Formats: sequence, structure tokens, C-alpha cells
Amino acid sequence: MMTIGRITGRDMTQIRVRTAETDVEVGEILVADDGGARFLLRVVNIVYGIEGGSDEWADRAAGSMIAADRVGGETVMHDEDRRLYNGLECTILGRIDDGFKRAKSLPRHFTPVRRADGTDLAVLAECMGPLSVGSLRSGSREIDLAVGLDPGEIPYHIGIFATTGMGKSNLMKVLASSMIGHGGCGMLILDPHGEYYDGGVSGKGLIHDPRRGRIQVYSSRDLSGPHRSIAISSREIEIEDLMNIYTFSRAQSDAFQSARRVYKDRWLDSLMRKEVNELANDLLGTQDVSLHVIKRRLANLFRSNILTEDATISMTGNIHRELSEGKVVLVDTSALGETEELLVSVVLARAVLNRNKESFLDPAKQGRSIPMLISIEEAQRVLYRPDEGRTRNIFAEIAREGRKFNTGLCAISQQPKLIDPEVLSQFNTHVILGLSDRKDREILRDSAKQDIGPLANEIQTLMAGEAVLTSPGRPFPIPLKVPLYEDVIPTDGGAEPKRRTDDLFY
Amino acid sequence: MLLPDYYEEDLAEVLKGLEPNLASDMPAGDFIEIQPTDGRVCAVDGGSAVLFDGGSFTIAAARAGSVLYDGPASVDEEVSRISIRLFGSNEIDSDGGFMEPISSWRAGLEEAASIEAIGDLETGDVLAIDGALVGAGAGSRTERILSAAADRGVRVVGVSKKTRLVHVGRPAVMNAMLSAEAGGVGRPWYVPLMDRGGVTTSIAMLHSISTFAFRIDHTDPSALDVLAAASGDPVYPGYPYPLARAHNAVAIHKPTSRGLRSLLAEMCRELDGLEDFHDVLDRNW
Repeated sequence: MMTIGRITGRDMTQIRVRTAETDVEVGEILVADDGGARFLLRVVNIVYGIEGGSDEWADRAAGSMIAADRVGGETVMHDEDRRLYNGLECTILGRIDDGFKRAKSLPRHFTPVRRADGTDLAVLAECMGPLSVGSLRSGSREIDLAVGLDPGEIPYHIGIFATTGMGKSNLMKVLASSMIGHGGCGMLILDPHGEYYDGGVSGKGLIHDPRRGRIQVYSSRDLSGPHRSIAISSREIEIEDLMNIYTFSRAQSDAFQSARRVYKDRWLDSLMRKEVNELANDLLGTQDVSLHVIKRRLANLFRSNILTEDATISMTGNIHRELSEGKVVLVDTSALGETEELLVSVVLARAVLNRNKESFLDPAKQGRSIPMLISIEEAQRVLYRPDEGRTRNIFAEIAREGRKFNTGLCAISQQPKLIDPEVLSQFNTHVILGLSDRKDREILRDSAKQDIGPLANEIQTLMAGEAVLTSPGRPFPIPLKVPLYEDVIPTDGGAEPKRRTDDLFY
Repeated sequence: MLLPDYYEEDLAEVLKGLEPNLASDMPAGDFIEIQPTDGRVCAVDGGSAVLFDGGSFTIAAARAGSVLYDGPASVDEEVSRISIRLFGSNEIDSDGGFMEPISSWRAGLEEAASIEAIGDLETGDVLAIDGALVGAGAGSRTERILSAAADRGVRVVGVSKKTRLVHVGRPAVMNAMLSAEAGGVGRPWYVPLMDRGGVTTSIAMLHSISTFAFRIDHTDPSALDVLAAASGDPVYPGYPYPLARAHNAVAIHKPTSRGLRSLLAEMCRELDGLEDFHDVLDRNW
């Protein structure tokens, strides 16, 4: 392997390498071969180096070049390779010495440094799970080593953060494809933008995956392929679901509780159908004004026909069953209004969590649960900072206690700075694609389970599809290249994945 | 620092005395345009340092070396090991010191390095040395160099950063620069002034943006074309880069001279009196 530079100094927090190569990139992984041990280094910054000169020297040289340009002359930088170089500022990722280890010593002075290859990094294979999301990356160069999540990481939540256009949706589809192939986890995709079904005009969606039996689609709009309409029985909606959407006064909350007490599981239908004076008669002590507000909000909320009084319909039950079978369930809410879409998300998320809680408490079902992942787009809308008005937040609840019940949240956001930091800290796995906003990067730096502080330059320069994955189960933040979803869809339906039950979970 | 006004007046008076020397009386037609041409240039230089100044004796170190350029990068470098010599009271120069004998000793090392370098050069290559090839500053050392170079068809140039050369009684370098400027001569240029023993002495400005001209002695004017091509380094525009590189390669830098001084001091610790009192003063305690 070709030596590209030599270590010149610094300390355990940063190694400096001198190189004459001009194509070394931020984020590249290098190897310092120090006798028997190989130290893995990651380039976090690149600086200009001038041998024997100062900044003034460079300014003088540039001044001569400018002067020569003006008179149409030319200058020649003699011994350029010797006098000019790049200084690579690197962090020590660890050492490969009969397996991967943390580095507790420095490589020797002037140790030769080369680019890492698949052989060097094969040692990382043991910390990769079967749910592939791409391949290892060194700078812009892909390394032939699959990067995958482990099903066991799902209940510990995943955050996917990126500016628009950096590949969030593609990553989600790639993850969904891996889930379909694996079959041992359920994945609920809540899609308010309608971008996962057919991928829009320029791409492909889940409908193009030939493993149709592993995907179930619910939609609020007519789709070209097989799907079911979103239809939630009014009896599947709980008062707490509404508390996730609106801020209600004490009197209004009391009115809901009275309706629940008086009308039992038909409380919602009754509040919507009955006149105010009739409700006031039934719900003693409830003010007309509160009932007016409640009725107006419910009318606004259920403008479309997703709500049904048919008690035999149980969309939440169906979806939970499909998730339990290891399927990917896509719920396309793109035709719904924002509050309605949010309500559907809340109802489904709450139902999945509650049913998994029941499984946890039921001795007959223990050991038969599989991890379920609920993905929520624009997660900052629901994982907001504490709001005194809204008393319930099912997504924050899942973030806090979902791990006990095999229920994970996949929060997708381009503005992580708006997410409650306490909730964000519950996310063990972060997949950071390109993020242009400094504050967004800072909040992730503070909440990630690994030190990504030195990676500021790398994260800033990520191209679409390039990412950094952090999680406690990996020795360092993993640089990742996510493939195009179009390139990972199988050409045929493939074999039915073997049903895997996480017997050890409960 | 604010200086009293009378210093400015004093300096103006001195400069007034210099004015008659600032002539530009070289005709523009005497200037010849240089055509930068790629070629191999071997530069030779020497460096020295005083390790101990005993007043009536001194101990000095010197070395010489060469750097061969083919285009913009060096292809070979030969630097001799450092030689150390004791100079006794019988060698004290006319200034009461040892500058002259040390300089002469170093010139001998440079001569040896030049002869050795010529042995490795090919016909048409250019040997560049630091200093004059002819005249009072050159001495007899260059004769052997010129002879050896002629035998191998090697062109020789000697570049003087400082010269006492005058032309019609006026400083030649300043005269040439002012004349070229006044005559609108295109850069790079040279103006031949005299021939002695097969060597032409010229004043040359080797790059279009240079702010310096140098006295250059040469055995063949075409060597200036090659030298100009090697004088475009943006750090030293107008000065042959191979000579700059050779200068740095042979210089006895402070860490080395300090190391030699400490070694000398250690070896002579038991010799009372072998300590420079300046060092004692410099301790500041």
C-alpha cells in the first residue's frame, strides 16, 4: 500500500500528518502502520503547510505571482512537492491489534501513513447489524463493507437528520427494503408527503418492490396499486389522542371525561352527533361554551371521511398485527389536513405502544414480540419542547419508555434544534446526513452517544447520500454511503424471510 | 519610535551626495533580451560559522555542496560533511580578524565541490556559483573551475549579490537598472560590460517582476537564458532558485552550530580560559 504521509506530532486528541497528496479528503480513514499495530486515523481537518516558511512567506510568493500575472509573466514554484504540503489533522479512531481496540498510546514519530482499505476495516464487520443502510465510506470513497443496524437497536430509537435534498427519504426506503428482507422487525412509515409509495416522478417507491406480500399500504388518497383506505373507528380514538393535537382548557377536558363516563366507547360519536343542548343535559355541570368549542374542533378535525362509526373496523389492530408479522406498513396521509394527519399518526403510535405494553404484561405473549419501528416525518412537530398546554405527547412517551416495550421511534427531521433535547437524548442511534445549520449540528453534537465534535467539517461537507452514523454499539461514528433505493430493490420477490422472533427480548 | 527631524535632514544631505552616481547613461541598444530556456542548472555554494572566537585564534566550521536542477525540481543534492579548522594568530587578516582566511577556506571547499559537480555534468549544462568569476573578488580559485568546465563543455555563471563594479565611474548595477527603465527595455535583460579571459561580465535582470539586477559573470551568454528560466520562483523572483536552494542546503544553521559549540565546550571544559566572555554576559544572571 502506498504511503501518503508521515506523522509529525501532536497528542492523543489530535494527530498531525504531513502529506504531499492533494486529494486527501476530510472524513478519510487512514492507517498508521506502526510495527505490528495499525492505528486508524480519521481526517477531521486539512491545513496548508509550508516548509521553512511563515505566513508572510506565502503572502510574498502570492504577491510575486499576482505581479507576474499583471505583466503577463509567469512564476515557477520550484521544489513544490518539498516546500508545499498539506497538514492532515486527524483523530485516533483506535488500533487494530488482534481485533479493534481503543488507542491508549501514540503511534511512533514519523510513522508512515496510508489510506485504509477493506482489509483494514473488515474488523468493523462484527459491529454491523443485518439491517443494511449502506456501505462504509472513507471520504467520498466507498469501502466494501456493509453498514447495518441491528434489530436490537430499534427500540432504542433512531434519529435521521438532514437538510432537504440530502437523502432522508432515500435512506428510509433503503431501511424499509432491509426490513422487508430481514422480516424480523415491523416498520410503520407515517408519510404525510406521499413520497414513499411510488417515489414521485423521479424515483421509485415501495410499490416497486416485488416483495409485495411484505408491504401493506394504507392511504387517504386513491393509489394506482393495491392499498387500503385509512379508516379509523371512532372507538379506536382515545381522549389522550386529542390532547396530543389541541390544547384544551380544564373545563373542556372535564367535558371529555364526562362524555366518556356517560357515553362509554361511543363518547366521540356522541360529541359529534348530538346537539349542544342535548349534551348539556347529559353531561351535567358542563358549560355550553365548552361544548361549542369541542364540537367546532371535532368538526374541523374530521372533515374527511377517515372516521367511521363502524365498530367492526380496527385499523390499529390490523396494523399492529401486520407489524407483528414483520411487515413494512406504509400509511400515506398526504391527502389529509395537517391536524387530521397528526391525529392518525398519534392514534396509530399510541395503539402500537399500548398493544406492545399489553404483550409485555401478558405472560402468554412474552418472548413472542418483535421490535417495531414507527417513523415520523418532520419530527420536530411532535417532539417539541415541553408545552404547558398540551398535556400528552405520545411520541415523547415512546421515546422515553418505548425501549421497554420493543417499540422504537424513527424521528426524521431537518431541524433537530427544535426537538426537545431531553427527548433527543433518548435516541441512541443518529444518522446524520448533510446539515447546513450550525445550531442543528450543535444540538446533535450534544445529544449523540459518541463524540462528533471533531467531525464538524466532515458533516458540513457531506454530499447527498453521505452520512455519519453514531450509536453506542460502534467503536466510533461510522461514515456511511447510502445507496440509491433504486439500486437495492430486488429484481424478484425473493424467498419469504424466515420469521424471526426476538425470544430474548422480554 | 519617533526620531528628531534633524535625522531626515542629515540623510537628505547624504543622498544628495549620491545623486551624481545615479546616472542612466547606458544606451538602450546595449541591452539584450533574455529568452528563458529550460535546461539543467547545477548550483554550488558554501557556508561557514565561527564556533569559538578566542581573539588571537578562532575555531570555525564550513562546508560546501551542490544542487542539480532539471526543470522546476531538484534531481540531485550533494553536501559535504562539515569541516572544522583552527585559525591561529598568524592568519589574522588586515581587519584584525579571521573573516578573510575563513572566507578563503570556504572558497576552497566550494572549488572542490564545483570540480566534483562538473565531473557529473554533461555538455551544455550550466554551473552556477555564488560570486564573481573574474576580478578582485574571484581570486585564483575560479581558474580551475573554468578549466574543468571548458573540458566538459559546461557553461559557467557566477552570480554576485553585491558588487563593487562601476561603469564609467558609477555603480554599474544601479546604472543598468535606471538605464533599462529609462530606455523602456523589456525584461528579462542583460547588458554586457566587459570581457576578461573568456569571461563576460554583465548586469542582468532575470525576471519580468524582479526588483533586483545582479552582476553575472558568464562563459556563454546562452547560459543566461537557462538561468532566467530557473529564476521564476515566486519567493525569489529574479534570483536563480538553484542558488537559493544550494545556499540553504549548505548553510550551517543555528541548531547545528549550537550543537557543535556545546560539544566543543564539553570537550574543553577542563581547559581554563576557553570560554567566550560574551557567553558569560549573555547569561543575564
